[in-house]
Amino acid sequence: MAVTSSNARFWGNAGTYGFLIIVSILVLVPIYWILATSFKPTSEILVTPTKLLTANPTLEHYGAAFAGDFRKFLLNSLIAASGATAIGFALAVPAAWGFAKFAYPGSGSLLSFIVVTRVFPPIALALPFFLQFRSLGLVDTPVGLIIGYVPIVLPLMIWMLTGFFRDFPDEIVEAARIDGLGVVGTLLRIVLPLSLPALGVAVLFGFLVAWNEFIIALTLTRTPASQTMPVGISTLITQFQILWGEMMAVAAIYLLPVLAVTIVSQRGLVSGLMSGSTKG
Amino acid sequence: MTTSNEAPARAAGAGLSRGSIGRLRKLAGVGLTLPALIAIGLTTLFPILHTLWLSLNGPNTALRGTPDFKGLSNYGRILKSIDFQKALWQTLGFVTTSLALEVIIGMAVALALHRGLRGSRIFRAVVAMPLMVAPVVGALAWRFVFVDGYGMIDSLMNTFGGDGPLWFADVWLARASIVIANLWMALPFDILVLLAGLASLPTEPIEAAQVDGASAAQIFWNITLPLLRPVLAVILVVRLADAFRVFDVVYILTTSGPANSTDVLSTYIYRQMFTVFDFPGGAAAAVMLVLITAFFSLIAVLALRSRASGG
Repeated sequence: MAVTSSNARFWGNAGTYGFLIIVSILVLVPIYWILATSFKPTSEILVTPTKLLTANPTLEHYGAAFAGDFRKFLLNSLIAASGATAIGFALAVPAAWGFAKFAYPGSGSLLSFIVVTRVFPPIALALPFFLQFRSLGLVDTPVGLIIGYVPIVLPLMIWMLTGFFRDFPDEIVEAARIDGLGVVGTLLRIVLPLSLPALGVAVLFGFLVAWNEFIIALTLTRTPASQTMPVGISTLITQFQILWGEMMAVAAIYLLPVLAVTIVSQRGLVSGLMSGSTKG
Repeated sequence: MTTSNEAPARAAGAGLSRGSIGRLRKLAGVGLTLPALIAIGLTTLFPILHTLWLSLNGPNTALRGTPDFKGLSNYGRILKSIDFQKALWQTLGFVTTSLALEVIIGMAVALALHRGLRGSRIFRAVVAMPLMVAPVVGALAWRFVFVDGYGMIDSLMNTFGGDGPLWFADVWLARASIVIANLWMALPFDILVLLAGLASLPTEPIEAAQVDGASAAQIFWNITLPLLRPVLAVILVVRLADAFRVFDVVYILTTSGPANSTDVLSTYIYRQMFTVFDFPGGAAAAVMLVLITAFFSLIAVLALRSRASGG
């Protein structure tokens, strides 16, 4: 009896490991292929059968990528994502604190509405943005893109931070009030310093969502003066000749920081994803 | 939704009248939330209403801003269009296939990781890697995996003397490639949320069932799964909205081809607006996409509510 049960456990564990190894390989395949191709000489990329690993690694594609419009795309992505995150943070922190601790008639419905804006697909916002921005001269400008990203960054940050702030101990808020701190003073001097991890997760999320955004950028930008990385990559694809090596180098540079952040802050990202949803 | 009810009691303790402190708290709430509400009103509510307005008017409204009320005629025209119907059915097919696969595979991986075998943390980190990868970059990587000739699959098969399928020339293979690439990007979220759900389950019912001699399958179907329903509903609601607005993967991987067989509503609307320049028609289709997404999200939320209170 004991033998069969330990036998069964062995095979169960072996099966679990086998399954996890297969899944891990499938997850790693595209990432590996990007990296492997980005270091291959052009002469080897389009040769069939392609080698899984090159014997002559080169940095030529990275050099070519940096020599092209790529630097502009990267800078535009940084400006748009940082700008939208900064605006989102400045507006979401007080709003989330208000929704979490200072309920007023209708505040619950308003918060629900903010959460519900998630069902609005960005394509439904793209046309009005384009038409309004055209008359305001904001098409193909970094400022226009930052404004265009507010609807995707701000609700997300409010949603996440409200979940965090609801758990903030009322005793501490009360103590601050008795010490004579006003609403704003309490928020700035007491709540924010004690909520740094939560704020960090919200900022990270807001930034990454804007960093990855495609459809609004595709609609609102026209030239490398304001095009972001995802748009730049898509224009590289649709050109008559696909420069795979250069594109894979670009993808690798865009991908690696995101992967590093994901691995380091996995727990924070999950708690952030869950906090708003389970309580909202 | 409402928070502290103890505010009036505290106010009384501080020697202020109940009414005035309550009013101050409400004013503070309004003041704190107003800037964000105005921003959302301007950047979300106003554009949505603008899209609605454009969908009810002729093309001159978008171009010159002059009203040209046409009622629901744009909707009728779009609903009758074969391209729209195709995109609609393909979107529904994509959403149901993707969500079903995400829940099944996500659950399998989460359960395997939840066993906590040696090395689970490494597997977990690997499996979670695509969590925040830009859809454009993920789709690009998969395009290079699937592409004929120098793609990874074809290269591998050539090495062994075979020949890989033409993923982007066959209707169903092209659709499969979209689902696979999307799965790769969506599964980390499903797995991590399910893992968090599994970790927060009470241990007593499962231990009691084990003592009573229940099999692992019985425990999963009768205890774990019902307890995970709220978590599954969260995944469903979040991923449903994401799946209905899928755009990046289709645009990069197949550009809706072959012969529009991978076209979805978002790519259809984009084309209608910015390639065909049919602003009213594109706006009408966008409004319908919002309504469809809202309808299915509402069903998911209602299912969550009744199950959470009933179970």
